[in-house]
Amino acid sequence: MDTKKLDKTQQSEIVFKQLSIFVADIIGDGVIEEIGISRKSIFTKDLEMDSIEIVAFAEKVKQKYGHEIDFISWISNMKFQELYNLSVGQVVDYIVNGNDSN
Amino acid sequence: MIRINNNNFNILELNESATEIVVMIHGLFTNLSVYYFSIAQALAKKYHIVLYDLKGHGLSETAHSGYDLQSMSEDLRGILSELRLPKVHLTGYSYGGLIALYMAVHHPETIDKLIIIETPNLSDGQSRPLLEGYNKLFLDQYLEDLSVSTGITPSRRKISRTHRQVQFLFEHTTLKEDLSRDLDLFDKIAENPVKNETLLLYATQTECKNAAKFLYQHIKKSSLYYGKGNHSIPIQNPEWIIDKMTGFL
Repeated sequence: MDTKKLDKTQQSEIVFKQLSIFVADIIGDGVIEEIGISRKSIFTKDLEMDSIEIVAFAEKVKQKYGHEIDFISWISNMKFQELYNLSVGQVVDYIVNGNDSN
Repeated sequence: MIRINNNNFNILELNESATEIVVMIHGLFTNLSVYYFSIAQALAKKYHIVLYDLKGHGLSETAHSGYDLQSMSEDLRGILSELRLPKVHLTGYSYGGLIALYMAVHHPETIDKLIIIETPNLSDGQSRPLLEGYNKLFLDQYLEDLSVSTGITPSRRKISRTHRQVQFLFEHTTLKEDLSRDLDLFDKIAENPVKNETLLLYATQTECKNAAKFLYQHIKKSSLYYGKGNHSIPIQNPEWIIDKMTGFL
């Protein structure tokens, strides 16, 4: 990613902020303000995103980070239940740690 | 988003540089995500994949009318024309399979191979619940069934949105009447058989067994397979569908 000179914690904070913006773009700032977002937030349960919103999120991640990580392969290799329980923090970790992350 | 027939359609393309194209049509009350996370990604390793949300579904715009197969096929033809795709492999799941079959009957020149997944015959009793009694009680049952069949509990916001979307489609659009208009598609297939090479994929617990048998009997170059699952097989058993589609294409 473009923040290699930063340590992992700093990188994670930047990526988390970026992902929060993506989620807010998709479900609305008002919803985010109401329900809040953290690394522990699960897209489907806590952010109450449905499948088409997660597709939109995945496309935004691919557009922003796709040249560094194969995000789509990563999520498409998940079982549906894993995808259903995916948290913001897991995506942050995958982006920061690259393809070595699980 | 692209604008076709005065409606905005949500389109998503994968691996656009591939030469062979697979267009995938979802079913009623779902959206392109039914393919996106597994089937489309696997096929995109080799094929140019085109996914879109039907009108009134997913992120596509809702229209007051035009939910009959002819109009839905015109939407698809508009999308193919806009994307400059003269001939494609066409995949349809459930109601999307009816659109694919309608295209094969009326516009065979636009289709190479055909893949039909869990598609009902609207004129037999199996699909009658689609045409009758869509009210809140039914919707609750529908969502409960969806939850049981997929092992997933929809979120409150999703339930509320799905309720709103489906109720809007049934109460404020011509969807219900439009569906009733297409009861004769299978008769048309019997009169004017589909000539395309066709893969028929149904679930072992399908409620569309009659439709599967009918299509297998009336489409000369067809093969029929049953995979483990029920009507939600694209979500329950995507690996099987990927395997069958990869062998067929």
